[in-house]
Amino acid sequence: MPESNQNISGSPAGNNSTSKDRSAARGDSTVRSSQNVKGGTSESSHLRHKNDHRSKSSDNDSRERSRTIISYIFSFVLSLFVLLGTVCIVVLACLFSEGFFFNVIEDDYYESVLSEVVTAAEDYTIPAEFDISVLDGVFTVSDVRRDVNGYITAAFRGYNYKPDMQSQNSELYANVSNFIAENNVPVEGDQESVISAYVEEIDNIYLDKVTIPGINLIEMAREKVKGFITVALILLFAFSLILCVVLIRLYRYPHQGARFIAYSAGGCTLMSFVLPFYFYLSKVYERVQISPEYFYRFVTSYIRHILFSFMQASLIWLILTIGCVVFVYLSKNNMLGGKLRKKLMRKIGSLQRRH
Amino acid sequence: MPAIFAVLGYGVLRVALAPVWNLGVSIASLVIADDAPNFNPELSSTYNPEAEKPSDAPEDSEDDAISIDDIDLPSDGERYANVTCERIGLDSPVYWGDSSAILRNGAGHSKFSFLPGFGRIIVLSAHNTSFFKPLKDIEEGDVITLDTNYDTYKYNVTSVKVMHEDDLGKKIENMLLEEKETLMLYTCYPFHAISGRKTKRLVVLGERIEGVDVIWREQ
Repeated sequence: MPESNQNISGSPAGNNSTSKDRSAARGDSTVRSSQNVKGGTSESSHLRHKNDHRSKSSDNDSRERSRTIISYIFSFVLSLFVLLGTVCIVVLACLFSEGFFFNVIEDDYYESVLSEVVTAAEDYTIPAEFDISVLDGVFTVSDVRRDVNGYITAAFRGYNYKPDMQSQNSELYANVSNFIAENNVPVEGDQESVISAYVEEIDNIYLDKVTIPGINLIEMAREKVKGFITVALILLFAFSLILCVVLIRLYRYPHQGARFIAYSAGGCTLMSFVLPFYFYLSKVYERVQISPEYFYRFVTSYIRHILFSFMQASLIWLILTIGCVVFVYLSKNNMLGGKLRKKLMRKIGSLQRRH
Repeated sequence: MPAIFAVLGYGVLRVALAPVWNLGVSIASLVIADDAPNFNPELSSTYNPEAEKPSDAPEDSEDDAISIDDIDLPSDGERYANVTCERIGLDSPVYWGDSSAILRNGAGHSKFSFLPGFGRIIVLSAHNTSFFKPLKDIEEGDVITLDTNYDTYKYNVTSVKVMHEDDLGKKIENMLLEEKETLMLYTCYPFHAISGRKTKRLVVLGERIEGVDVIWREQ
């Protein structure tokens, strides 16, 4: 066991041995010189007593210093644990949460998807010799909303979603048939199969656009990582609790340990705020080069919400920091007040006795 | 003290999570550019039909080539030329790139092909329902004019063929290696007929008969 640990644990053997050694080292020369000069035994015992006292206070200083250093280390480790715990919570509550996905989707997301569907369908319709009017009223925002939400829910709950496109297909089929009949456009091959092929292609365009790219990957990642993150979160919580208890128990008064917990909470506040805030302010995430536009907007909104979540978590840690600081301040004042009160009472008592 | 913890904490995490961090930075450098993407690029134009061209100069002029430094190379979505064929009534603006937005506004110049004057293949495409509709009447021997913002080029049509889209891809791949200036115009086929997904293409090839060469650097 290292010497410093023995001092902290307050082992009497350790303390005695060190104090004796030190007093021997420091005191002997002083004692010898004092004997040479005065030759008095009372003087030498007084000096020995003084040296003992000095060495004891030096031991206390060193013990106090070691305890402080250890407290700082524990406090720093605690702040890292709390930060990692915050990251785990944000990942669980944001990255892998169905509700968070729906929060991220802005109201005009569905309109953007619809506009993209219509543009892509028109780009296919123009060279196919149809008029783009055949697409009028085929797709609606409510269809898009239903199918986008359906895909998200299915991905998070682990089943396959198949949009019901029957009404859209029959409307498109009717529009195309009318167009051919009204304009007398020649059809190469069987009209039925030509129209069916066109409708099928438009269906594929629609299905491609309403699916959020990569959503299945998120679900796969969730399946694999969720258990690990949950265990990590429990362990981090347990270790953080142990560190808090150790920090409190290291000192005679709880507020002395609470000071270090306040440091941890403060450190975690800064760590979980500064970097997300920097990314939020610099808007780095808005320079990400992905398309189409609705997906870009979804991704940037998603990242912005995650950064916000970190900043919200930092607010919780800030409140905890302030709580700890207030607790330390009040406890210190109460203790000082108690000591002063005791002193005052003693003085009043002695004055009363005199009178 | 919390500030020191924060700095130290970031340092410790940076070192401890170095592989993850480096991977993240590598991915970010691939997908993050200097500016946010522009999803509504407006088509622009540097084409000026009135501009003085080297081919307008007198015949005794020694200007039979221009330097690439004298050309305003078109950027994405920029109109730099006009393609015409008087006999069939073809007259279409030509843009650099062939996105859907471009094809709604004119003919698109495939970015993997060359500009006129470079002695290599030039590939233009447009919808058969709009700008390249007149191609249904084109014949061998017709002259196609490609008026760019640096010179006017004329091409004699040498071949008009219908081929499958896959064969067209292979043909273009082969022609990219040829050191011969060929203009290729293609569009969907057949015209005026609904056939579901159109897999055939009308391909028109022409050889250059007029226009100056573009040289890479002054020699």
